[in-house]
Amino acid sequence: MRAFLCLLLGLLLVGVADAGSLRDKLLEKIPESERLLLGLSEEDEIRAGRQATASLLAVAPLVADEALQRYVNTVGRWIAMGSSRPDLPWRFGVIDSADVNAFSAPGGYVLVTRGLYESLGSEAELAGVLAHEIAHVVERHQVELLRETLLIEEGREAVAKAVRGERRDLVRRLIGTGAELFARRLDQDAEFEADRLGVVLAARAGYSPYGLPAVLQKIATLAPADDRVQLLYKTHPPPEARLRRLDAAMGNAFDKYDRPGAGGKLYRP
Amino acid sequence: MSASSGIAATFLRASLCAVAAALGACSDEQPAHPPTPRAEAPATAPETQGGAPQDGARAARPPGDATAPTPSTAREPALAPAPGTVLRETELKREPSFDAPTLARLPAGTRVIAADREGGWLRVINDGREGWVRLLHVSLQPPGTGGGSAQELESVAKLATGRAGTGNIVSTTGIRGLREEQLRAAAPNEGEVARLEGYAATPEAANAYARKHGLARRDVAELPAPKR
Repeated sequence: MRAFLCLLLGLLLVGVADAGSLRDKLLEKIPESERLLLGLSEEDEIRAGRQATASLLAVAPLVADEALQRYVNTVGRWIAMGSSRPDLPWRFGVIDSADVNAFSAPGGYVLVTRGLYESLGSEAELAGVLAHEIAHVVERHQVELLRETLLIEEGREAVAKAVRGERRDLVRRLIGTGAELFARRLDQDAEFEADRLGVVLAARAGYSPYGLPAVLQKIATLAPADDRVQLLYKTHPPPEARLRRLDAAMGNAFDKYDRPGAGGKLYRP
Repeated sequence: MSASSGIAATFLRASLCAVAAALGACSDEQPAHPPTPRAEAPATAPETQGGAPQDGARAARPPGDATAPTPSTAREPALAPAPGTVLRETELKREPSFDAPTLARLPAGTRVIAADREGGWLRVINDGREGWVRLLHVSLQPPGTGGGSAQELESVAKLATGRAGTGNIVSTTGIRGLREEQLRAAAPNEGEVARLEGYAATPEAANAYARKHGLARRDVAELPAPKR
């Protein structure tokens, strides 16, 4: 009964994130151990994601092509609308780096490098890349990693700060320094999960689900020692492992969703 | 932003040059197969929702499909020739379809050269035979690893007929990648993130784009993790 009550209170708190003193009163009643189960509010997620994204943009700014940026936003938004979080303020961008990589941050920020964009052969391949990143945000993979890291490093103090409402400081400490969030390695099961949900999201949006596997194949043709994939390989499983897992998950059942050529024409700068 | 057709052309030239070098000659002039212009809006495949894939998946759209974009003869861009290894026993099909005749069974570990892709199918050369295998049953590799003989590379290059991919990655040296230390040291660029946010698309714009290009939303269940 107590566990149920605490769960109910927890759910209420997530819903009344900004109900000031009511929240504080409720928090006081919940034992510290159970407060650890509370998630970040969506506002916290967005604030954290925005800060990390702004730091990445300091290193690699947006490619100066408005039509390109609007195009990836259109395609990305369409795909995200088929997810369980369609109403996040999704933002997409192509950043000026020769690296072959894509990044996502909590709250709906997705960035693709120019190096990766130039390798794409179709809108379906773009859709596959964006869908994988959207999946990370939908599944809150980075949020979970951040929370675990913070709790391990700061433990009770972090929780106490959350209780006291020092959310800005909490959020800042969650994402770490600068854009280092994007150099962190997620649990590899999280990457496999993002691949699986990614092909599903692409299929839901009307694309062939094989865009993402095709991009993985292209990446695999790059020498591992190529500097442009060193960060990618630091943070992701090797393409072959990902392809094997996707094959095991998709089997032949996904072939009915295959629509080679579906979608618009990939925008070329 | 450099044009990807430039990269593709470079890669194609490099591939052909590698083949030619293997055969004892090399030239830096125009490749035998000049790069084609970028593919136009690719043809839509017939709707296969809920049904078995049709033979000749590259056929024209079904009659009365007024909402689909106009089909053209151009297809999804091909891959540049790349070596690969078969991951699990798979069938070499004559056409990119489960219903197509099986030309051979390729055991795991078989070396192939991949030349082309259509949806979930990869066109490959193995031991002089050409056919299609499931994309997910092969793992591609960097050039110079695994792969086939010079003759196979040459025949695949011919197949590619110069359309070897708008959009292929060329390995280069001398480009310094993003570094963790660099990322850690970065301070937020408020102006740039505000610019990013200014490009966000509305749901209405996204819906309009999808309608215009025949992208129909489909009900697809999430995939569970495969059993180990």
